[in-house]
Amino acid sequence: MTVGRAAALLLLATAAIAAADLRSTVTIDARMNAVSHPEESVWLGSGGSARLDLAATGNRSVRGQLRISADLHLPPAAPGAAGSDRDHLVTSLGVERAFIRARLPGFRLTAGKTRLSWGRGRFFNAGDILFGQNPGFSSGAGEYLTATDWLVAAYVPVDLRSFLEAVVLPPPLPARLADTAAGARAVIRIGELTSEAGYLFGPDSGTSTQREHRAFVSLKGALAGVDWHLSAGSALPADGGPDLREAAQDRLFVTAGGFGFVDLGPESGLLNVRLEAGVRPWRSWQEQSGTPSALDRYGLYLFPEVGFAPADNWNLSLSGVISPIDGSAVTAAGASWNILQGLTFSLYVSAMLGDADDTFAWDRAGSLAATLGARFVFGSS
Amino acid sequence: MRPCARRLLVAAGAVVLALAAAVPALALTGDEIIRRMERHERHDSMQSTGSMEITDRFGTRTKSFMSTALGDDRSLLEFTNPEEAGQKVLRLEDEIYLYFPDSEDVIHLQGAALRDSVLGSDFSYEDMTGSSSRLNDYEVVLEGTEEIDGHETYRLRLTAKRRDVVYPVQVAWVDSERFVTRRVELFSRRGRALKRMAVTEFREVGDKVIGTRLEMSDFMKKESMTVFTIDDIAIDEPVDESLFSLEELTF
Repeated sequence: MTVGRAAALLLLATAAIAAADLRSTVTIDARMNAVSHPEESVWLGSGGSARLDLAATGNRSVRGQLRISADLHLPPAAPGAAGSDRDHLVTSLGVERAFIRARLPGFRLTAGKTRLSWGRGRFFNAGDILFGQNPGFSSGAGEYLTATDWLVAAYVPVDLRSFLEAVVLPPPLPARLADTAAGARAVIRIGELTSEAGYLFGPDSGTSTQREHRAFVSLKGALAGVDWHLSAGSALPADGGPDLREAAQDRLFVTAGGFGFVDLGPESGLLNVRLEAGVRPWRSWQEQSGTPSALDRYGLYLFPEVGFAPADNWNLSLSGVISPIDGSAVTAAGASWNILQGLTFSLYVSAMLGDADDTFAWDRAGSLAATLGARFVFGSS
Repeated sequence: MRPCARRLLVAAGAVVLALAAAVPALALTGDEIIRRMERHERHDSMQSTGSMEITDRFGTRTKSFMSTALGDDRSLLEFTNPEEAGQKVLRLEDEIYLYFPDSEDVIHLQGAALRDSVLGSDFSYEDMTGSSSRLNDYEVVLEGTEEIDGHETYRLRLTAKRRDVVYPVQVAWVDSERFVTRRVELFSRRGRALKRMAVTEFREVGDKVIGTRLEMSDFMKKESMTVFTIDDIAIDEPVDESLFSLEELTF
């Protein structure tokens, strides 16, 4: 983030907030981590974070939000490790969000640091050509859709359920104008189906030195009580290259998913179930040896997730990523308990299963992990 | 006339008067009582702010909200308490959309999901946003009269006409004087009691009487109760139809 641009947008955001009612929210997290290590039995860490949200409310035509967060933690290390705590302490301060959203004649403008959710999918989303088509697995509370960036977007409603959206993502300064990314999407409701198509032209998501065209199409609907989605996206280098077809095939990513509720009966409540698949048809469909890589080595990965609320203030979850081709997986089980107003305790445990050269491996640092946390949210509205 | 005979005459007169009063009341059908009750409960539009106090054995958690509804099948609810600030629920006909501002994500709910609890309360999404006429969904039978909290009420049994109705059976107690709901019990198809709602406070708004404090108990949740309170309310005032759109939901 550049200081000048951040200052200008913060000033505008502050002005918007000052002109409207203000809602403030403070979120404080405290946590303790324990992770396995191949050479030590368990490494311990601890930390916390604080987040301040200021949001303008009460004005139907303009709103703004400023979110500042501070993080302070000791990374997991062997008990009794050399060095003082201060040597290892990691601190960070950042602006997670700072944006204005305003209704102007015929369209809505968003400017600043925020996120846009393109495509569908909680974990695998071929339509998210802005922030990444699959995030890393979260062994904690599973907060996946949180990435933000500086952007300017125009949203044009077509009808109650359809709209067009154009976006420009300026590069961090100093930068060339050519490093700007720009694109658009259309979300159109046709009968019971919601279709979405989007395009973005900008720096290569991997190298950032090349420019590329990214595009996706997506369908979303409901069948027999299950919300389903199907998306496909790919990318082509802007400078052409020797084999465009091969490049498009290599980057082709197809994601599909379903989300529904299993009715356990009026006396038992609902189980929510999600299953998503990420398919790269032109990647390997056979197990390979060698250095483990990210979730793009093989042709198929799966993301199952189950949630259940046994009581008003209890939530249980079980989720994971399965790599069926090399037979490995990571799984996380969690429980959260909203015991008092704003106060939630949580416990998450995760484990990797697999051989050393699999996508997930049992003998890797962090293959077993547990996080005990407390979150307190308070503020004024 | 001897005093004893006079007392008998007075008593007989009272019985006659009571019967005379009861005849037109009992002449009402269940459907007519529902129609008179819904004159107070269904509106062209409604704007309100309020709160839900969810009490269990550990204490009370409060969720505040502001809500706008247009007709039977359009409503927008936004939570304003710090923990869920900015979360919204949009009802468009038989679809419900949830908006989570942190992820800028929209979730589409339907079917059994409408029975899911709103923020851990004893209210479901259907309870919070549905307002179609009961006469569309239920067969109504007047079972008699009962006194509830010192008020004479009609006891009505409502049986769902279709299997996709969220609560297959309802028993409602409707004030026989003001035609407002005083209590409702909700049952499963097998007759098991699911929830009980008692309306304990009312406010006159124009020529309507609105329940402004509702106590909801979910029998499946032990030691739990949600008190739903309306603080401010405006009825049948002009409402911008564009409120009920994905654009407004994600604003």
